[in-house]
Amino acid sequence: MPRFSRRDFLRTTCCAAAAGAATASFSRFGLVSAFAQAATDYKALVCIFLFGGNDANNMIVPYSASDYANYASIRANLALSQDTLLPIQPKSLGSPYSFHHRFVELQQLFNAGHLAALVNAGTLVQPTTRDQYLHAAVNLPVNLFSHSDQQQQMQTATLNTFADIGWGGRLADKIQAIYGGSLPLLISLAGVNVFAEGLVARPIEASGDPTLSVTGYSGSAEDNARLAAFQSLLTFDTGLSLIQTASATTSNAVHDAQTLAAALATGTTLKTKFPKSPLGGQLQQVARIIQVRGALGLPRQIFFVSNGGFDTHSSQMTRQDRLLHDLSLSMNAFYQAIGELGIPQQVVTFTMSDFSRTFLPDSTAGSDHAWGSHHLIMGDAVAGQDFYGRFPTLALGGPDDATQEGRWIPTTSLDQYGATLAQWFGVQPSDLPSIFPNLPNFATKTLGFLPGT
Amino acid sequence: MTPNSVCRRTTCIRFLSLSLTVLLTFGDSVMARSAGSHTRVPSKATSSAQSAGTKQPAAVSAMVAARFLEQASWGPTPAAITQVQGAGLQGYLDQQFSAPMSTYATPGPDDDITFIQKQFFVNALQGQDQLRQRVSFALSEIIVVSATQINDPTAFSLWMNMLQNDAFGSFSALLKDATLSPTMGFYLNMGNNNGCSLRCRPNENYAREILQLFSIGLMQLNLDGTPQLDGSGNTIPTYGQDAIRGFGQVFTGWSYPPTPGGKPPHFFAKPYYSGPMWPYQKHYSKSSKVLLNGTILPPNGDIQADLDAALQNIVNHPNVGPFICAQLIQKLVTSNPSPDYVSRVAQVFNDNGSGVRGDLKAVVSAILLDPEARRGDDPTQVQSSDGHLREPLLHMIMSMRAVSAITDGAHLNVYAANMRQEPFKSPSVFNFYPPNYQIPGTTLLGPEFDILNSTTTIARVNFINDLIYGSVGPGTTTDISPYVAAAGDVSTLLDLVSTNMLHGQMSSDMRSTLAGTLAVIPDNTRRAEAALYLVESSSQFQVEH
Repeated sequence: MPRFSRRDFLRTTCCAAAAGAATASFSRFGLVSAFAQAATDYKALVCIFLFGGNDANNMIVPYSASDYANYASIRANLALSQDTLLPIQPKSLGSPYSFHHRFVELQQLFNAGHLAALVNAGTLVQPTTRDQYLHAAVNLPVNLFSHSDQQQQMQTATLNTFADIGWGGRLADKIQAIYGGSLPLLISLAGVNVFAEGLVARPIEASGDPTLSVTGYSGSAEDNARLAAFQSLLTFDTGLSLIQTASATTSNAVHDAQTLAAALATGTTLKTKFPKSPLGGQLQQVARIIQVRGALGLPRQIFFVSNGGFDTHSSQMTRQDRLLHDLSLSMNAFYQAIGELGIPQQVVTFTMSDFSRTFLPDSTAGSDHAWGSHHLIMGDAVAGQDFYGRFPTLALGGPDDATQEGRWIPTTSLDQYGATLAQWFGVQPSDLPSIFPNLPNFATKTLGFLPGT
Repeated sequence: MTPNSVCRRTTCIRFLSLSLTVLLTFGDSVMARSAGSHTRVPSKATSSAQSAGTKQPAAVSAMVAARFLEQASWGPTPAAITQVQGAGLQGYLDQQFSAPMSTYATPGPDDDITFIQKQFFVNALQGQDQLRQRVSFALSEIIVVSATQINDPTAFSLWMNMLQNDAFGSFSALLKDATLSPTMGFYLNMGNNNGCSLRCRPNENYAREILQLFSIGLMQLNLDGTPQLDGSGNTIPTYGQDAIRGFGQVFTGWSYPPTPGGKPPHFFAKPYYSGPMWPYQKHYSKSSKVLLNGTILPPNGDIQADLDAALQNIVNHPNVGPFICAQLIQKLVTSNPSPDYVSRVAQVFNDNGSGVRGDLKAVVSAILLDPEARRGDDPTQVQSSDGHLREPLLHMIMSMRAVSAITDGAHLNVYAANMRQEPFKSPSVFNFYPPNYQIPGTTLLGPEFDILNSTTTIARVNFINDLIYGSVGPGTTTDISPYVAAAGDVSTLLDLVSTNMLHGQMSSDMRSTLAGTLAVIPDNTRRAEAALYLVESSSQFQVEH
């Protein structure tokens, strides 16, 4: 038999309970009400993952005449024209910067202090200079520039090997130990993603309506007998691990959909309109679930949503234009919706991506896989209108370039980024390294963009 | 593939102690777990599997034939079971290798991608070249193009005809055809990749993904698919950024074929998908080019000769056999093949017995006739890690074939999309799911589980509800009359369902549960429907084993 972990044991227990509960009835059941309580210190983290590697070089652009001229000369046909850029002035910096022209809403949030940027952050085992990189003088993340590996590493904070537990999952494990609760506090609306997998914590992972239920049961005696058989089949131990896994997934799905549907039935329609895009739809679901946090009885929740298409090897200008427009509209709608719920201090939204892209364009009006990237952090708990980290020197083969094409070596690590979020969420500083294993390699553990922590 | 995924496969398959003794333990006959009176599995069926290449087909039981068809086709039907029983396993493969190819027709000017999606369902459901359909689909999930970025359905018609044509040919030809296909050229930007040398530089997209996904993967492998380790126990990369740059330069200078009636042939042509891409030496990078294993192409090479040399440099890399074969095994047979299984098939990839490398026909035979593929023919030999979750399209089509569905293919793409596998719409070049997805909390790989989430798992069950009790599309009909005819006797009905859907290996607890439930449903049609729904929606059916 394959080795089963403690998590598997716990999860099996959970599934058995879920199947048992589901056997009672397919109608809405009252389990959630037992947990219903006003969670006064409620907090939520919302991760927006930009799959494919967002070209951060065109998300945030230097705005002073000399810096822009340098940018434009190297970016050539990928250079955004300066008169379209949206100026921003980070509080702690002397030089002006700007957002992509599609960030109209995010520029407003930035200027109002609800949004910050973490610049040139990414996967790092330890602080790394160009010289150290070129001479392999330090440990490096494995398989840099590979989509699958860098997505995995950004989601797991495990940089030297394949991991099946995400840092969101490890965070949930810690939080669950503090706050208890028997429902998954992790919800991915972007399907299965390792970010949400914990050692103990089991996520809800949906790729559409998270309350989708099994159809075709009328309540007749025959249908009830058939339903009982359907549920019974999910409990059989066939001796084949993959069958057990499939059954557990279905049992959990039935259970989770009922729980969520029951809670969501207590909610009211949000006034805030969301873009009718996949990302807008996912964030709207998140807002609806946060609205019924009392019914769910969870004092902490972690959400994972995503958008794809950022792998802009060609025709980048038009493709990224559309993607960033959607990102700005969707994030702004979500910010407004959380304001409508009256808890803007209690929800922090942040972006991640595989990597950024080469500063030097390729011959098909696109860019290739790079490394350090800029990320956005949104919410009223955020010390906004500012940059964190150090903006890279935009020079090919320069001090921040890993190669000759403008692949910026991160100057801030994913671990520091995540640790700042985790500490705000309630994790003790001494527990942070168990979530972010490379954090001890960095002198500064947290980055200050969430000053209340 | 990501590093250590194969490591973890090693860990998990330590438990699979397959050896020749397993074959020898196949007694004269064994009783399937289902307690059905007819579930006798003659040992000759499995011995025929071992004597691949012999002309004498041995008697094959319906159950062995059905299980073989679960791996070698889009699902057993009574006619196909009879065919396999008549020809034997090797004989069936030989018939299939030469069966006339189902083709994808050329779309009209007003057609969109649904035209091709419909044809996919029709071909998979009704094509007589079932093995070719299954294998070419598997290849389409390893060498991936996607309609998320290509709107023209003609691109996919030509692409699929190419894959189908090459499915039983040589891997070398397949890789070259894929490389020069305008469909791939558009998808991964080799088309119009300009080798000019000043401020612009070659696009690296195709260079990176042909190595990472279509041929060798990221780390050096042993013949059995396990990773090679250096002195410190670390995996060894197959290439660095220098080779990505080098192959990026090799893949310059190619543009789309001229559009009939359009401009004369020129670089920077607009996408046109018929025929291979055209070479333009003037736009080919003049620099020297770093390839794999220390090979360097000298500067100022010939565009076509360099391409051939670079592709051969890839094809001859020792990783290709284990890397490609392990994935084909996962698609056809099991998520967790033992290293020995991978090794046996990879050896055939390296040499088909006649000194030919990359003979896909020989590889497919080796995969399907391998003792590890066949051991489940004897239910007492099934191992806990065996089998694989049927991906949504496989689950859909097998369910439909079991109820004799006839379709025009319309609307089925909507169901598939809800299960996260809309045909030809992989979200990226990484396919709908990765080969190295690991089941959380276990050491088992389960690639298809990456798209089994709380929404899709319910969508799968609800598809079966519509298929059996309603309609899955205006152009799809089913015929469950054989099951209704058998439904007068619950045991007879369950025998039939078990044979057609669970290769006669319905577990005893499943059988007794179904028997109890069906007994309270007096109407024969309703009873047959309940049996079909419960089996086709079950995990025991959804996981092929």
